[in-house]
Amino acid sequence: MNLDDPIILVVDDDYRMQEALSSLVEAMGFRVATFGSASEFLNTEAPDSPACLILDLELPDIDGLELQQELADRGSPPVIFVTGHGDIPSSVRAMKAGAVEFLSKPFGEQELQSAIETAVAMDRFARQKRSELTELQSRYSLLTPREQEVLPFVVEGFLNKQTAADLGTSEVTIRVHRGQIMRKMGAGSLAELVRMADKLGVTPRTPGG
Amino acid sequence: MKPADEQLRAIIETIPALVWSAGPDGSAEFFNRRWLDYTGLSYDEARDWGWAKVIHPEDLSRLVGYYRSMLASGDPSEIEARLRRFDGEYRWFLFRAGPLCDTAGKAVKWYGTNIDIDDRKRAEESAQRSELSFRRIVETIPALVWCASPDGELTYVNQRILDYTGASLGDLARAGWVSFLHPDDVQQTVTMWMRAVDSGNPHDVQYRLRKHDGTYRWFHVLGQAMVDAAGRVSQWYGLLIDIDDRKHIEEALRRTEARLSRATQIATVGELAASIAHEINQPLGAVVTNAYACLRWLSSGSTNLDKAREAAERIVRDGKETGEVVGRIRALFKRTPVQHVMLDLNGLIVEVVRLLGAESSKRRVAMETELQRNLQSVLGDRVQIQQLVLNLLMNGLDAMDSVTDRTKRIVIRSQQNNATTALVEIEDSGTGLADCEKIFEPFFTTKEHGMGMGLTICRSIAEGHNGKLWATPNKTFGTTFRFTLPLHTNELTGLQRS
Repeated sequence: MNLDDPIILVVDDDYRMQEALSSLVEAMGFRVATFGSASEFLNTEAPDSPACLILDLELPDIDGLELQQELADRGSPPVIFVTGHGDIPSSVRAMKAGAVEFLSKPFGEQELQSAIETAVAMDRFARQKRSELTELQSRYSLLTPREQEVLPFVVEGFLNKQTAADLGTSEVTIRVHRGQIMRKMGAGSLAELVRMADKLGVTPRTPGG
Repeated sequence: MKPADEQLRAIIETIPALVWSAGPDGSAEFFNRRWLDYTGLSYDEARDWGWAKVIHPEDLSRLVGYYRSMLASGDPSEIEARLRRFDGEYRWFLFRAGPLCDTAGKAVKWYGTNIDIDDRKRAEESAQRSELSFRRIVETIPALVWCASPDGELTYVNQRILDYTGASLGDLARAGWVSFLHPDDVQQTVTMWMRAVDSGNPHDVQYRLRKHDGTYRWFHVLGQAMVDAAGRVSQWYGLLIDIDDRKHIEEALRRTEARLSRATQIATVGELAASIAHEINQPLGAVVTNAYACLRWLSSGSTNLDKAREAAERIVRDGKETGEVVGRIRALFKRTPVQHVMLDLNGLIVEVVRLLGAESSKRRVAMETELQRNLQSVLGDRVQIQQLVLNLLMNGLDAMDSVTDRTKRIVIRSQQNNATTALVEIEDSGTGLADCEKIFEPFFTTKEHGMGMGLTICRSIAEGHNGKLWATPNKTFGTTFRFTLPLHTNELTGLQRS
């Protein structure tokens, strides 16, 4: 097993459902981990793999929907809800809160598999985005305070002369800073640097500001 | 002889009786002074048949007839008749006469006395009148009246009983009345009556008595023994009161109540539909999921027979459990005739709590049980007791719907209450009740969509089991409902024992 292989997290208080889901998900070729309650799940360290959560809506210690809210705040994997009740109001709320799928017991394996695949794909994408951002943030942290100060001027398309005037320094100094920024950020072009700054949420400077 | 004559005359004139004599043909020859003084007649007026004019006209022909038959037979005899006093008032006298016979046995003279029996006669008449009036009461009051001897033998029944049954006292006596009872009531009635006769305790029983037209009506029968100074029963007096109409109304009421109970039972099923679906979906979901897993483990590419077998075994296990769940729920709402059997009260509570598990977790209520271990079995109808526990728990859940500032909790306790009863407590931490008695009244409800029959039916179930159901407010929050049920004893009860 590879760390990049997805892991499916099953949270259900019914041991029968835990066993069944765990066997089916394993037969589908996924790794699986089961939890009997919300707290048991929350007390376990999140796996560093693409994952998805199959969550019973009626957990004894915490409401599945409340758990989903808590997980969303932590950036946890996408959620597939299963329920023995299947009442419409909770399903609407769950979908609005970003659940991938809402399955009523008993559900079909195709429904489950496609839900899992969708969820895992979403998580892969989210994880990739997160790792990209992490990479950019670590590159950004290499910039000196002065270089971080210069970056907004560069991405806004200021000429070195204008930037130098604004920051009260020489045009040569700005040109050196700019070269360092491009190198440290690993940007091949100004356009690429602009996209990076955008992802990092760097606010462009307005001229004369 | 003269002095003897004198003495006889003195006696005849002195004895407190009217004395007379007559010839063999009956014509009077002699009256003593008392006779003449009483009637106010002179001897001449009275002699021969003259005395007949002071006999009460109503009595005359009877007296004359009697007199003639006495003369014809020559036997002494007596008769009662009214004789007019000098002042015109008639008084009752006892007329006695006897013949003086010659050697051939022929009557040659008649001697008679008239003794004043008016006071006794009047007392007798008044007693007769009073008896007549009592008899009239007994025959007229709208009830069936009977008397029986100390050994239980029927001695009298009033006309109403004869009219009702179309039988005679002879038909009813010597236990003949038993054949007029409804066959289903014979054993109990006879047993109860024998017991009353043995003990002298009041007899109180209800039975159906056959009318002359073959129909049966319900009667409430009361018997009371009259006891003499020595404490012995001297007579039984009894009454049959027609309660047939009341019985039918009671019956109709019970049927209505049973239908209502059924209706609320169905309403409860409705309320619990989601819980029931969940209860079934849970193992069913596992079955379906395991089946998919099993197929996957059997398919080429990922074949794993051990895993497939495990999944199949789980299918069997969970499938059976689904069946059990369905069976339990069906038993819970099955319409069966009421049958009091030996019940494991704790087991029953656990089943109901399990059924409500999903409902309570949905409402975020913690349901806890504190059941006395080895609690003796109770005697009751399974479906009704389940209904009772279920209704009380649902009530508890409802009572906590609006609670937000404290833990929502229901505790169910069971324990032996005393030598003969078990006690169940259902304590909630809900909003509490304003009136712990009013809630048991029909159509009283605190719920928006409540029918107000739930607790009424609960109480009638408890009372139908010779138990009680009541509510008390808790010290802090909420209410505790308690009910008692009779413990099941090995002894047979009541009649079967005797």
